[in-house]
Amino acid sequence: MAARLAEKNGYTNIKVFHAGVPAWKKAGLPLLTSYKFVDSRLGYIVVIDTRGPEAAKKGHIQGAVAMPLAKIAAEKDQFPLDHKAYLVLYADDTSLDKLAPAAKLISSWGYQNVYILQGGYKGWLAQNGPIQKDMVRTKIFYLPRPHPGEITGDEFMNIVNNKPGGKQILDVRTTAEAASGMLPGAINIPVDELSSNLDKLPKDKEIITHCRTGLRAEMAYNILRNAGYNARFLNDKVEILESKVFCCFK
Amino acid sequence: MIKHAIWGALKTTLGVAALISAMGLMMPAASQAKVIANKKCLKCHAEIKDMPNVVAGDFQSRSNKAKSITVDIGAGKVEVLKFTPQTTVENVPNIKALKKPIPVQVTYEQKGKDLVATAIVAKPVIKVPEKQLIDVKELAALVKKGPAKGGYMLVDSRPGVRYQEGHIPTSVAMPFPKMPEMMDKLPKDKKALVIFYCEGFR
Repeated sequence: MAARLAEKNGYTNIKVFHAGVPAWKKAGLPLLTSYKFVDSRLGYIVVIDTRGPEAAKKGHIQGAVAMPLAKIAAEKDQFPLDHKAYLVLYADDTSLDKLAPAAKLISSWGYQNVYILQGGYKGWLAQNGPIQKDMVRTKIFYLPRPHPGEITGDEFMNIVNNKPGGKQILDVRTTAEAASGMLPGAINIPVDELSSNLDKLPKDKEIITHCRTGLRAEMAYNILRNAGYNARFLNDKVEILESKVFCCFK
Repeated sequence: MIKHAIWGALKTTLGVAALISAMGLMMPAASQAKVIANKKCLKCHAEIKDMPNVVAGDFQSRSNKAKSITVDIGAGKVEVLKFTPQTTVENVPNIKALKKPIPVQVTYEQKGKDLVATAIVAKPVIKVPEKQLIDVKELAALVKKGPAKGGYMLVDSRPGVRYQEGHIPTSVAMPFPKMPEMMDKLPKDKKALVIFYCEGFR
């Protein structure tokens, strides 16, 4: 479409990289990310300071882990289990040629979102991005970004165990799944029957939905939210076996 | 059929819509209908505003147990729709092939409180003439040289947030809906090599 528009405007030497970004990633080629993206996701992405601990001590991007380029291969085991995790590498400046092989290596481990920070640490400082001195992290710590409406496993289990007033647990699994065991105090309405059974829910309580994996709980959360209910959902696995609850693996 | 009605007839629908608004008239049925569309979609497909029973946005998730899909309609809102064995799917082989975040237009029927999808149309892949295609190897070789030595301009046509997240080195952001106002950013020399890319085919 863009190419056609350029053609209409008289451009005669147009090419289209039709395979686009996915093919570029698949070939292990580097992608640049921006200050804006990293800043907006800080805390929920892995930021790797490839300059190493000495340089990092003088100042690094808030929460970054110091890992010299040469050591990355040896630290494979501490990379997150989640291959969709965002991983951002940086050096003093963009340093594309220097960082590209490391990005390629990490991508080859199966990570789908490996980026190099455009402008590097100098660019980050120029944008007044949040930094830290000392307190250098040397181990990767990764927390996925919560979806809107997500409740933490701790808070969920606290509600299950202590049944505080003002909260109602809603089990949105099928009736067959619920028949083999439910959380104490929970109501079961399968998500595909939820819209037509909203009158069974208390309007004055916050509804906390769960299913077996989190997928249907999120759908239920969206149905409730669109219908004006105060709701959150558990984005985690729940198994109930012989009235024992196995939950919250994240 | 549906593809033509929705993605294909853009020009005519836009023409009609423009004419109607120019005459200062309102379409009573359309203006009353609830618009369930991501703003992003409306930038290029303004006609969706006047389509009753359509949800437009980015496909988000599918649950077989719940026989439901969700569509991200923007501004933090997600619409949940049921599907049935009769739900038709276009531009991808089947409903399973829908992946986040493929843009979709879903025509639905209201059944009681539920929205039931009758037709799901995934955004079609645009055809490009063979001679205009450039592959990853050729592009990587050019990018390595850089725009000056390689004699090219690389344009990222995706939305700005995608560019910010991760873009091919040396590329310039020119989101397609904003392109008409950005034509002056293209090279002065109309014979210069200009390469476009986006999120790619699936």
